[in-house]
Amino acid sequence: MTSATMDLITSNALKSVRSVERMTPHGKKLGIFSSVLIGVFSSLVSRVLHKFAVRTAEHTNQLSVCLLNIQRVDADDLRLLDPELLLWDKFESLKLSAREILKSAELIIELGDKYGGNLKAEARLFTEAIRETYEVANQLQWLIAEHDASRVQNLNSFVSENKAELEAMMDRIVAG
Amino acid sequence: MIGENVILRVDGNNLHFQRTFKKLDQKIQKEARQTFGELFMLDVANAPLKLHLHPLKGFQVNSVIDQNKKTKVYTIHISREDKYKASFTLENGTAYMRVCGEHDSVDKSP
Repeated sequence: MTSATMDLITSNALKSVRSVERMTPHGKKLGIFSSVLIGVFSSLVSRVLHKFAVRTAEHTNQLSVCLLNIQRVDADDLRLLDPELLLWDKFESLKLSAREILKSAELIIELGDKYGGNLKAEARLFTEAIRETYEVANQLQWLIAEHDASRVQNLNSFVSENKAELEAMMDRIVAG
Repeated sequence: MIGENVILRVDGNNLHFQRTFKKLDQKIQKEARQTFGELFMLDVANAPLKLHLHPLKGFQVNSVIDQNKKTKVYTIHISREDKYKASFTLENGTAYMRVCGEHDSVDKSP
């Protein structure tokens, strides 16, 4: 695998995460609507939820492609995918947002029984889409971390064999 | 003879470990250091209960020594109120630290 291909994998992963990130503020807004407002605008909320679910699924597909690409990276290739841990932080933030959105969507599912129509079904669909995104993001985060961890462990600069060495090692980690 | 379950060295080269350790509050960092200090010569199969040290069920991670192998990942409580944990693998007497963070986060992505 060439350096350009590795760069492409990383940039595609970053691009996909950013696409999902751009959506999350809209998803979080679901939480600010009161149950009365959702009831009054239930058909509008249903349509919005449907749109969100479709877009979320599209972004999850992109993340899945990144997952496949990373799985194809040669074991002998010693380059890091996320040396600055930029993707790691993005995934953490994405997972946090997904959990918040899920809470709001689950409340809407409960309201669905009260207001009828497609509200409950669309909220369910959206919830499933978010859960899937969360799972794929988690797998991707895990895979990138595993890939990179195995390549930096060959260094011996942070190893300790007793408490005093450990203290010194942790001091260097904190200072680094 | 020292058994294969005994920790002789602590390896902190993992960037995720370093990054996640630095993100902890200073108070938690201090407690974590004390806990890590207790790892030396510790038999992971007979660890003191206060450490809550155990292999994480359902997880096998890449071996640091052999990329083609998977190995168990252990977690340990690093704060008194048990809100924070750290994870590591144990290979040839070395505890390869992997990640620190809140309990649930480490259990999900050790």
